[in-house]
Amino acid sequence: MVNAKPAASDPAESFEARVREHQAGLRAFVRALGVDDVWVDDVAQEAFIVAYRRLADFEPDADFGRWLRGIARHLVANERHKDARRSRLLPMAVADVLLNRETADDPGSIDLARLVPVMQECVEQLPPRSRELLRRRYAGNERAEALARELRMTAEAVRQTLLRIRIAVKACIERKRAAVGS
Amino acid sequence: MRAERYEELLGSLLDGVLSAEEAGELAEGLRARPELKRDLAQHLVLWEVWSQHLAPERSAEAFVAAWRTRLRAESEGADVFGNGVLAELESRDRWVPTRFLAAPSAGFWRRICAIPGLIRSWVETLGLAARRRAGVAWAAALICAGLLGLFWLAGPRSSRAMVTIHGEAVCTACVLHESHVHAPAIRVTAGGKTQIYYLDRTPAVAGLQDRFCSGPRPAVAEGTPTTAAGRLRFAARTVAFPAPPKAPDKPMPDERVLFPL
Repeated sequence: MVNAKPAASDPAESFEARVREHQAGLRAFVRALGVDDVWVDDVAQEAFIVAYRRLADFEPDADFGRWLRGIARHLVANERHKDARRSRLLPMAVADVLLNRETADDPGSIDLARLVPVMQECVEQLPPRSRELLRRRYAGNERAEALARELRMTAEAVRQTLLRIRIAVKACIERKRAAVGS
Repeated sequence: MRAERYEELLGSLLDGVLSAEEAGELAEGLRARPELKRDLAQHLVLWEVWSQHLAPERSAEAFVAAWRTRLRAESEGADVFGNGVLAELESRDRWVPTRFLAAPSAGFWRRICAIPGLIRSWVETLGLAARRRAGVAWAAALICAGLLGLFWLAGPRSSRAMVTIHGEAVCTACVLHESHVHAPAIRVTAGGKTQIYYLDRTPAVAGLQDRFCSGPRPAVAEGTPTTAAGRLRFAARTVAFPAPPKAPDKPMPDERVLFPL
């Protein structure tokens, strides 16, 4: 974790190292707070901009990631005051539950560098067609409606297929994590 | 809440189609069963991480670049940006029409802003030439060339070189996550490099924003490229979305039997 200020002359340039280090975790954190997937990067960028402007308030010995997540949480909480059309959150009822969740399993503290390879291994074990569906959903950003038209399925059937794949991948990760733990 | 119903609602939530009514039902279930709340948060994190890992526009590099751009834009403000452009134009040598002629993709405004400088330079040159007898013919030729040049400079955009770009239709907000503003763009990848052409709001683009928001999808655009503030812009005369290759007609296998773990 980078807590000491990097020695670049341009403050924006030195802050960039922090952005690079924390961006993936912060985006995951923001999503878990109930931000709509299309707005996750936007909210995370805003959090970094606020952090950059208030860098003087940050104690050099403190945990930068935690401070950043506090800013992001504050931004997300403010989203609740917007009307639904302008909000960047998931439907409000669900976002409320997520935002008020206990932070014991704070996603910001997840070791993403280890999670991605494990996830990759689990996805590799899927049949090719499932892998392809997952790739198109996440690499191509295609929604169930669009996939359904092409695959000649109903959107609901695509959603359920995708969900079964997601549940299987998550179960695989949990098994691997438990195996490493034991 | 039954597990089947939770999964149904979770699938809708992850695909962004959960209605307000369903959201209320899901929220009630989450409050009643903390393990579901945890499960939902884990799914949100996992698939967010996977999206970052797979989607090129969500890579760490793309995020950092977008942050840098946004910080610069918010720091400078519109006035500073506009003044910067004008200062750059002022500093350019105006008596070089061939330079503009050799660069048909140069910006329209750059050329318009160069007109007073060109006129001044031509007048000065004509003045010098007219003081000498042998220079009269030369001066007349220059007047003709100058008038032609002015017509060319003030001519409609469509008279400039048209190019065709092949790439992916993307939205600056939904897909690139660069701003709040939903604007159409075309991402072109060639020779290992990716460039974004930001489309001007021409009639050819009107009414197509949903296609860009539901992208990335293959797109072909014909029009005129320009550069402004370090960004590639594109005034499209036509935009087409070729159909992606058809998937085989085989039915989806039952995924439940395909997970060996």
